[in-house]
Amino acid sequence: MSPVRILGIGSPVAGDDLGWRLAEALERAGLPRYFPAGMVHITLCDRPGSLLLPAMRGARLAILLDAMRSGAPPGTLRRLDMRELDDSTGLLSSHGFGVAEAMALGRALEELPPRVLIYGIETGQTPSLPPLSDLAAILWPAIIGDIQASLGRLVMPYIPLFGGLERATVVEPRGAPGEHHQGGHHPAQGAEVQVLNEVPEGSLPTKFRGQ
Amino acid sequence: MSQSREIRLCVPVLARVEGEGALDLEVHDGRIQTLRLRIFEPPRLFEKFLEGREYQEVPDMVARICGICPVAYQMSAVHAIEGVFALAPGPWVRAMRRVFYCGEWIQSHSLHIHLLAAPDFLGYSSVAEMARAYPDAVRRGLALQALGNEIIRVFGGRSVHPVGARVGGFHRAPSRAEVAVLREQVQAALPGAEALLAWTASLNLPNDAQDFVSVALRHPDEYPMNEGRIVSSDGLDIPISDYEVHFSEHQEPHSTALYASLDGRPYLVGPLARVNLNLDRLHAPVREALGRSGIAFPSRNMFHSIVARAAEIHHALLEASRLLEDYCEPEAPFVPAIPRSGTAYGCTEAPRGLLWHRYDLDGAGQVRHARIVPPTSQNQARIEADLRHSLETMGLDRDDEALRQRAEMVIRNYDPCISCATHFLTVRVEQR
Repeated sequence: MSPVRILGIGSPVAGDDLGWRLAEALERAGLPRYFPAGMVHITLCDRPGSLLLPAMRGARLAILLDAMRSGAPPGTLRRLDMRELDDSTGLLSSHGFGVAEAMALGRALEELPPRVLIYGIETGQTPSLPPLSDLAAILWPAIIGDIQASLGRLVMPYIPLFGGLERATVVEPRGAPGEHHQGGHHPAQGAEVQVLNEVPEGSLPTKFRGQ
Repeated sequence: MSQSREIRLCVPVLARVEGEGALDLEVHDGRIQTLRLRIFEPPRLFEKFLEGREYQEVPDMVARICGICPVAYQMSAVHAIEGVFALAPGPWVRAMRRVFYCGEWIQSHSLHIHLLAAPDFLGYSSVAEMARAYPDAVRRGLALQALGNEIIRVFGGRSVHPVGARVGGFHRAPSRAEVAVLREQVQAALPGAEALLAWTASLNLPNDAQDFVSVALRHPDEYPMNEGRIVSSDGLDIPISDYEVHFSEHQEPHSTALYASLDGRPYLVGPLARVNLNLDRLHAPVREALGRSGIAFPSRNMFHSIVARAAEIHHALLEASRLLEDYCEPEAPFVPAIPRSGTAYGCTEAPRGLLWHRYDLDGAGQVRHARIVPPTSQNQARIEADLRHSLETMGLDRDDEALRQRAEMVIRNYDPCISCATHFLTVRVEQR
């Protein structure tokens, strides 16, 4: 059982597959190989509902990637620490047992990993979404930082192969969270939200920088 | 003097909302004048999308209608099309389709019992709250749900919107090794399913007998899933091709879901209707467990639906175990189809009840016209009748919160699936 699980959450509906596509991009670029074998496992989950709990079971760190619609420009990334969410942030819908409900249930059953992070990726049509490689390049150092912080280890330097950053990496976020995407999330009131809109200086492998 | 009260429930922040519904309630002199379950989810137009499509595309397209019961849509479709093509897929396909369907019943019923219905009966607002007091019951429910999903995955390739079914059979047959593991899991779950049935029967369910007509399939010698005649508690007994002679749908201005009626009257489909009409077709251990429950079936108490769901989980596990015993891989997992023109009828028992399909196919097997009648459309008029009865029985002088809670409980009890809409109720009560 891998201590770190990266879970792409979504559905095949256009726009809601963003979490899947980013998880695939990180897998293709070799993120698990950045760490000792068996430490990091990447999975795609199709609207897992309560089955999110077994998907995270036994992990020390779970990182969820999911599409978001909050009114911010497409491509904006938000990072939430799920420990900050309380049980009142979501209500059950008859078949809409989503990530928030799964987290609340996991807390009640004391089945959550010690640390659960969610990266919400703003989806939408206008302006067009930045290339997936750009988004993956921003996620890369952030996720590696999360894993280092949680597990306190980092070995095997590895250069990922996302390709260059031909475009501005991520547009500036704006406005307050609004309507949420059918298959996604938006930050809940009271939750600490960190918006990632630039690559932290010095955190990116040389391969990414301005190429 | 007019007094208008309004209750608004907060819209969830993070839930995956799949639709919205509302309830309008108008009371004059202590009597209900208006009661409307409003479904304002936009129409989904699947029947039109199917026109002009090849018959091979139909199972995968209709699976997208519902994320909870895609197998039901696939099964009604493939049976209909095979009926026109005079295609007989043989005993292996027939048995494995039944196992596939068992998986869907197990996951859908487990989800509804534990995540949606049980908190109502135990006085909690969500399963997360309930789980603190009943952790073992919730864990048992989650494990059953996961097993149902696993059965679907083994035959369908994935558990949500599976892609394994096709006209003539399956695209792939599971290996003996896969099935051996699956059957062990199914057998290991049997004691939990039996305990679940007893647990649901022990809940403090409201005692509220009502007059309603049950409608379900009935098969000569098995509990109905994929095949049978349509029967009712009023004596109806017809082939599925005669559905349109007796059942009709009409539109109401306040709902984007159609209302179905049987000879002009509301009727019930789903687990309680099935158990009421097919008690003698349940496996003996399930009948015995129901006998020990202290609840008499057939039942006129709609709240016994949760017990019926638990009974069907128990039955589905026994059925899957039976059908997977001595499993052998077939030479081919499907029979090739030769298209023919004609009108195709398919009717199977989705977790929520009768799911009726009709397709007009041309000589190349292209869909000229499609009609799909889902279970919740058939239950919608019954839900409104139940709401009227239940709220009047409880007392219309109760405060808005009590009325809202009871109304939601009544609606949830049907496990409605009209774009999964009726959970976020905005209840407007007008008293004059």
